[in-house]
Amino acid sequence: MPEERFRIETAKGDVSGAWTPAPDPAAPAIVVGHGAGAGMDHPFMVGFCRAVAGQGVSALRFNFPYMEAGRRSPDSAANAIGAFRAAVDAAAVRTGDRPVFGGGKSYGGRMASMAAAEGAPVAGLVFLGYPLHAPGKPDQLRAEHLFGLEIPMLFLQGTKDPFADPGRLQGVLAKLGAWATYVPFEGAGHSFERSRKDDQRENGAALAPHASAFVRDHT
Amino acid sequence: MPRKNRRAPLEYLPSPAPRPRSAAPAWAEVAGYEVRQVAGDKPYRCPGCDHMVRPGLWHLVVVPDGDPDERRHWHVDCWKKELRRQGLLRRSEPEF
Repeated sequence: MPEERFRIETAKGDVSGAWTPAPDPAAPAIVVGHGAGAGMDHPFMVGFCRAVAGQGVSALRFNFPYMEAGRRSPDSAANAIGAFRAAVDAAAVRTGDRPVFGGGKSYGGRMASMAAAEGAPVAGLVFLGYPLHAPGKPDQLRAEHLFGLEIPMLFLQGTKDPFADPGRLQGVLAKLGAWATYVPFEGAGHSFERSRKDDQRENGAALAPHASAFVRDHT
Repeated sequence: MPRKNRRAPLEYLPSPAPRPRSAAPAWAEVAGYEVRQVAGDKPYRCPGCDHMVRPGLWHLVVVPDGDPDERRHWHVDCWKKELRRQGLLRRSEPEF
């Protein structure tokens, strides 16, 4: 299926979007935000979107406004959340009334969850490496807003991710109870790399079977 | 008989120097971010040049409004370049 590229209107100007449709026009969709340091066309994002679409879940990826403008300092929370919401609307238009899930890599996943906490209409969340805390600061968790969510959440996480101490993550998962599903990637880091020579596109694609199965289970 | 090694009681030990911090220069302020100038005691990586901000160097801490988790430490000149690239650097007022 060819990829559709288009513009998404946000309060901070138009941003780029890319829609990778699943073969079935009635497929559910997932909107994924990029990590803080690289935009929507990073091989990891492209690899994930193409793979998940091939498994029956249409994918929409997009740039946050700061990335679109070539800046390196992420947007204010309000603008990032607004952009995520606009991307969810763009996916909803393309799927009809099928469910739209949210998620993303690291920062993008965290913004998706903050948007959900503020009422963005997503059916569930898929975290491609949740940035639970800054490296070396496992006491300052970025999880409080997750506890108010009543939607299923999938945590795909490397066990050697410096942004997610396994013990702290277990505590958060226990508190989320049945809303949370956890898939550990043994020996993998924050971008699911096991060695520096890993292919980023393959690492993104390797997460797709878990994400598509999760979406199927919850639609 | 050898003298015991005496240590000063705790309350007489000098307290660690407070970390200096101050408001950022006016040009560095831009809508959507809170900017402070600090001299940290740790190394940070500057997102502008991808090099280290060495401990003790006066630099800028830039926090997106409403998202303290995305706090970044910038070299002063790198933040200036970032703003200039975006056309956000205010020109100084003409003097009369």
